[in-house]
Amino acid sequence: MTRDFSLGEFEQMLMLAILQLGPDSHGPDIAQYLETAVDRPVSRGALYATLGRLEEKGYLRWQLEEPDAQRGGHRKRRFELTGPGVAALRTYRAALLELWSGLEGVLGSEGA
Amino acid sequence: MEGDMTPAEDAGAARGPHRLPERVLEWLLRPLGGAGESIVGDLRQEHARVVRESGSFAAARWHWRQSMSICVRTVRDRLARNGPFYAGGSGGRSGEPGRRKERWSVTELTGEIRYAVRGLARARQYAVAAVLTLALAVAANTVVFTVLNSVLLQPLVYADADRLVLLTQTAPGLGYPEFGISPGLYHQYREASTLVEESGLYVEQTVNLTGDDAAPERIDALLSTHTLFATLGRQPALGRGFTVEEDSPGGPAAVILSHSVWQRRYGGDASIIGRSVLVNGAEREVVGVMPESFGFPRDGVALYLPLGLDLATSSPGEFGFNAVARIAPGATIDQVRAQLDGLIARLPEFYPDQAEFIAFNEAGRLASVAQPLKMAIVGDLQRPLWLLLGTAALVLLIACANVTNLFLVRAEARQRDIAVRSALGAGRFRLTRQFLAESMALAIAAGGLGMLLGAAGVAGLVRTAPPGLPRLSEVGIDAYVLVYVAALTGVVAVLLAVVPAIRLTSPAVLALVSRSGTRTTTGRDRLRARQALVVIQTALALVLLAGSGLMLRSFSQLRSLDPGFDPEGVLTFRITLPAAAYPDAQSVAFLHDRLLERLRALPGVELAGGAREVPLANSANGTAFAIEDHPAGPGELPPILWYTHVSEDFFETMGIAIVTGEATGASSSEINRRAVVVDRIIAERFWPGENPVGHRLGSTGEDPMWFTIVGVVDEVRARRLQDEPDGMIYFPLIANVPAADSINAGPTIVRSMTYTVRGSRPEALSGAVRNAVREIDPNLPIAAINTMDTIVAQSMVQTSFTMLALVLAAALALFLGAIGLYGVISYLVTQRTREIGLRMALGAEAGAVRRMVAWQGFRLAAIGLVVGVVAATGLTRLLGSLLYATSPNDPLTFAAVTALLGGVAFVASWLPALRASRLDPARTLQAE
Repeated sequence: MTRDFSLGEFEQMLMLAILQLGPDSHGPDIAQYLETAVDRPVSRGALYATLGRLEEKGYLRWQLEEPDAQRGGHRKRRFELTGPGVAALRTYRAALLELWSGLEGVLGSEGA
Repeated sequence: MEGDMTPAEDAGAARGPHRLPERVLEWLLRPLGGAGESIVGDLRQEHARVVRESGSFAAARWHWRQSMSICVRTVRDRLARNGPFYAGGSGGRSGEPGRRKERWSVTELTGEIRYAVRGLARARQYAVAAVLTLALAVAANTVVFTVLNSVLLQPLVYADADRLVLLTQTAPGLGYPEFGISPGLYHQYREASTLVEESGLYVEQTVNLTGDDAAPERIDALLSTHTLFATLGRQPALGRGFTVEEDSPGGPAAVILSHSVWQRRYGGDASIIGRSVLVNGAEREVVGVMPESFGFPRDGVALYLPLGLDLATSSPGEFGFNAVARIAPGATIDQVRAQLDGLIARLPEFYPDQAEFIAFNEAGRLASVAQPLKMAIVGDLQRPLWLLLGTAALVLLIACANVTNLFLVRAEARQRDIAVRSALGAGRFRLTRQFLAESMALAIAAGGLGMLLGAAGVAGLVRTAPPGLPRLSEVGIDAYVLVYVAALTGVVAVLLAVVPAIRLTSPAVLALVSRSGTRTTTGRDRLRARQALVVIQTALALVLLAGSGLMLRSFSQLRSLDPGFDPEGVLTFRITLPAAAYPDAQSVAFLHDRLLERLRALPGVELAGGAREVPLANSANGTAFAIEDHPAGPGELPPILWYTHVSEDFFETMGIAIVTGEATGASSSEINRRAVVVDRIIAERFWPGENPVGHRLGSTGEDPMWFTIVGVVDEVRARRLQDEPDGMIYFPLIANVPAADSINAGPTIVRSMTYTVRGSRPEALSGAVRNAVREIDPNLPIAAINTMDTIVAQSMVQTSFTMLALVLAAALALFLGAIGLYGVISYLVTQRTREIGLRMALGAEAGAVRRMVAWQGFRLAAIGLVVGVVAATGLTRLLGSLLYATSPNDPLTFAAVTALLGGVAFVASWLPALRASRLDPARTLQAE
């Protein structure tokens, strides 16, 4: 079976952020997490488009939660990864680790 | 976290993001169901966070940008019919499959547009002409709408600005339209009103700012009660607002800086808080700096000072103040007004010992006026701006008519192609699409170019706009302008396509074409649309010309008014003497005398004088006077008259004619001389047919202080050029004004004085004048150096500004109209080449041919002129109060613009006729 590598860089980042945040994975939390943790500016257009695409691929699902006062009465979506989503990340990670191995001398290790 | 928010930020967050982007998002994302809803909520939640982190302005910007990024992706997905925002596919979680309607698909549309663009590229001249014409008109619309949007539509920069009202009074019984509020009245209002949440009393003043290394400055300041900032819902960005103690008589001296003065004078140094500066020579501690976007009551106010009045014991009759109030949520302005009027009725109870005030109150039928703050600030601009927007729309219509004409020419050339497609089964809608694609390509290009030109125009306008235009600093292109221009582009696209679509795809026309097999259909029928366009264009141009003609006439009427003084050759500047350095009348008079002496000695200066204020400076004072020969009866009010103070030689310097007697101000040696000069209006009002010299006027009350009239001068238009002069009393520079409720016991000390010097080249004198002042007192800042000519021009600014805009629009309309007519007649000549050739071959004279062709064009213009005159008769009434001494249907103006447009139409018809008559019959006949 050939592996499926259809994950983009931003898609991976989003999925990892969702795993990191756990039960707090709402849209604003994910965006802010990426903006602070990896210092990557996140256009909200790209954010929601990518979340939607991941959903289409079956890698994540969401459920609606009740709104709080700040949201003008709009409900909230909490995201979580599906089994296939976690599997896809795992596959990707394995592939990357394999590709990275033995290259520390060429590419330098962390902090160098 | 929430506890850290300042009230202003709190308000920004509570108010939520702008409605427009949120609405657009809601609408676009609705098909996504819960997912869409949550995105809107997410942005709202994040907006609140950004407000906390970076303030409400940054947050609004952030919200706009992110909303737009989502909108762009959504539109892209929808157009492409896939992707996460395309609800038709997965439909969110609902699982409901999207319906696929058979419509004009995106690929087909882009195909058509690409085809149209290729076609336009081949017909470059046509495309350039069409795009430029439309772009000019779009640019005009962009500029006008940008100003209108920023000035009239956008809320003021204060929190919840819709609830802010300005409280003033009116006294219809005495013919006073509207005037300010007194501290006493304000105090009663504040105590009694249950509908006002918070309010502030304020008054504007110019002050001297010194006390550091920078040069002394004369700047605008606002004195207000400590409640003003809370009323407006804005607090200092740095430091704090005023405390109750600072706002009491004799309280600690404090000052708050505007953002601009903080940046300009103190380099934005935050350590300024706690330092002290000299305001009018007295030390004040800087306690705060206002945010950048804040300016009240207008931009340009540089300092905020506490008023420091004990309101409870203040006079009810000193109406020189203003009050702004925040009405309670749910209360209406009418309710507030009714409540205040009820209070006015009870005023005699509060002030039993103020007989004058009670008499004034009764005779004047004092009533309160509450109007929305926004209207008070920008109300005067409402009419001109909407008028200009209408004008710009007319220009756009004319441009569209022009381009439609060009469009028709091209479309007709394709008629055969259309007929073939129709024969092959293309429906009417399908055929129309081709036109629509081309008109869209043109409109989008024109919209983009027009937007750029418009942006440049807005930038130019902001740089060159006359001073005194409110909210000018807020004028800028925002998303509303973008939406407006996009909508305009859409309208243009439809307008352009609609005529050819109807004309060329009608079954009758198609049948005709396919039968005859050539593109020449019946000439008369085919021309009718174009002829109608010429008529419409001419009529619209006439309306615009009439409007601008009337404004021009108003302007020249204003220009030719005799203001009562001779502004040419006069330079004016203003000085204020701080009380600390000039404590008494003697020292002030001494300085005035020395300075005048010094000014007169300057080379190039012929005369020099001074007055508390010069004409048209918009700051005259009025008070009640007793006239010795006409004592007011019991219960009768003394007349309220305008007065000012002048120095010797003031009348001569200003070129104000002396009618009789001696007309002089006083030098320091005459402080105690009780002499006064009146103008002819006062003289004729109280002493008709007599010489008033020797008669006396003075203060009202028990023991009047009398002043003897020593001279009469010509009347002067003192306040606005368009207002008839209504009397002025000229006191010597240093003299007590005999006002009834005058608080001053001693002589009035005029500390703020406008000097006037007359010379042949006034603008060249400003350097010398500055030096003269510096030599006498280096700490005195000079303000408002202006020639009198400039002051006169500024007083006409509204008229001249509207006029300029209308004249530009009319010139554009005239130009476009002429081109349109010329184009149609030229086309007609080309169409009739063969016929003309035949006629000439058969012996028709060149002159006859010329007349025939020219008449064909001029006839259309003539119909347009008639229609235009009728339309203009009704529409120019909208100019209303903008006109001065000019009837909206001024026959002279109407005749002139009709003649002008008729003349242009004649030339536009004659040129092609001339060409037709020079055709060589042999060649035209051979050609066929």
